[in-house]
Amino acid sequence: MNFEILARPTAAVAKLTLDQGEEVTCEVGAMIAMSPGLTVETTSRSRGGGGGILKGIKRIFAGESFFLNHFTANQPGQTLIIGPGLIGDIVHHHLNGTMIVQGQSWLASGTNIEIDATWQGFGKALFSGESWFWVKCTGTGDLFLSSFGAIYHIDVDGEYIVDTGHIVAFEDTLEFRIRKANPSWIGSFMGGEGLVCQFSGRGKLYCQSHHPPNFGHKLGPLLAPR
Amino acid sequence: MNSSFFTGGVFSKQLEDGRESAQIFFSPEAIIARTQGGKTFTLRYDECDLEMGGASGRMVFCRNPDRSLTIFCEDRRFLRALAEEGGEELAAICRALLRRHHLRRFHHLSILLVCVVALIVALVIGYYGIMAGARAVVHKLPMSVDEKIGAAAIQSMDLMGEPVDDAVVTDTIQQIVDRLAPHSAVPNVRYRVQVVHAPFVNAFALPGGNIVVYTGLIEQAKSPEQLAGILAHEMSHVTMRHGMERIAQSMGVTIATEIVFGDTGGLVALGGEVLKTTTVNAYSRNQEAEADAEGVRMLHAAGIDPMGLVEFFCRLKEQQGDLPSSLTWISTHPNHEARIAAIRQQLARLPKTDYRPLDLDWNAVVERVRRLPPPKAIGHFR
Repeated sequence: MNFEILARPTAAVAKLTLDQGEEVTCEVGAMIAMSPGLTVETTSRSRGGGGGILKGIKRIFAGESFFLNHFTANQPGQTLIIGPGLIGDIVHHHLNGTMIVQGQSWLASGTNIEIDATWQGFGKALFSGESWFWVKCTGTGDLFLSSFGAIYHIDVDGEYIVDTGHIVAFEDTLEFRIRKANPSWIGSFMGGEGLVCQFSGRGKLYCQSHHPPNFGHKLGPLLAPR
Repeated sequence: MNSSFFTGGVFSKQLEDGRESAQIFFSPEAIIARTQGGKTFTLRYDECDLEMGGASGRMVFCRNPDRSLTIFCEDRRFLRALAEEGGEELAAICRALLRRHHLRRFHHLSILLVCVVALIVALVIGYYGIMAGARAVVHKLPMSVDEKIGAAAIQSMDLMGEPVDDAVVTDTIQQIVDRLAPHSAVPNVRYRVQVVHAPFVNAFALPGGNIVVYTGLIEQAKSPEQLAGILAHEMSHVTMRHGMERIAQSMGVTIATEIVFGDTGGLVALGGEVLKTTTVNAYSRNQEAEADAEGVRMLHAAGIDPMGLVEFFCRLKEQQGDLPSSLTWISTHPNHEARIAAIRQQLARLPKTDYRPLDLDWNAVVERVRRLPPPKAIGHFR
């Protein structure tokens, strides 16, 4: 499978080119356009093995859909254009292990990658600014992640701090904890940062420039009432 | 020697991406990791620096002193296997890491438990606070508010039957109400009874004094005392302002749910409705018991034999049976047997009095009701 990411970073779409017999699994609703030689199959089961109803339900809690769309090329050189629901960026990551992805940022992946949901603890569920469950991608292959706004990556080796709600994905070799942005509680909240996610360990971390709820809060008052 | 293989990975600058998945196993002197690309990395036990972390919190990282090589594994058995193979010094570090990991888990579980308990306590206090607060607010309002709400409600309701205007029926019922009214707990309530032609064995009271009695109930009552028992019960709902309490409590639960969950939709809204059905209905069972007790007091004070109410419940029990006890929480009314027992207990405590029979031609009332044309299309029972 070849890919090209177009129109980065504000309204990115991924153009995937599949040879005959190649497959890709996408988030439901991600397809924008496709060649006629592609067939779509919708199931709750991932091609990488496992899955079924239980994992479909877990994905709902992680902010993803119960179903997955599998696209298979029946002819050579078939193109598939996919994009996220919100305007933002797309990044390709060659997965070789496990990646923990925030709900709604998983866009598509190769069929050797299993898509599951994982629980990161009660504190993170409440205060990380993300979904209560996260999407856990395990395997080897292509992984496409989407973000709200621009996406950037950091190779963490030691510690790194990200504001809550700005995490896109991180490798499972990284650990994160919720802590105050400032040593004092008053300073933390008066400074507007409140709580932050402190990563430690070694691995790749993807962050997004914007946070949908914050953007909504800023935009909402400017909209004319209906 | 431990011959197990573990799935994990390696961090090293020698790898193209800096990281690769690997199979990990133990030799007598070192941890060995063989990557998918075929590269082999060796980390001697005496150079191994251990740490736990990762997204799961239980991933084990084994590093060399200059941190140029890290072998990691999340398998729960890995640390124990390493303790067996790595010698005394490494075994002590492994045990300390495991202890710290268990302590951390215990700490997290304790916080979770405290949060859950605090949430339950807050919910219970919030629930009883709303119930008591709503009740207190209702009893501060003048009865004129009940009358306005009751009048608006009866106008907008589908009573599921035609009103009965046969004077034999309506006057007889009004006579029973007139005998009970002077003994109601709140003076000057204007009770307005409306008889509706429908086969429901039911009657209900609205705030302010509107009472609806279905002809199905009149047909089931074998004596005017039995109907007087039901009317006293419904009049008690009015004087004890139970309808208003339920409106205020239901509003309180809705407002509290919206404050906590914001704009409720989907599952949260469904959960709120279930909460309202189970909690507000459960409270309504208490109201029914209160109305039974107050009704019996009124009957006793008016000189009408309260056994009429007991006899009526016995008839209902014979005909309908009781809900299984496991289902009573969804019902608005307590089961018949419990109500009969409670009334008998109350009667045993009341002073002896000579009850005066209601001097009414009950058979004529029932006959008039039976002669009415069959009711039109029946809606659902409520």
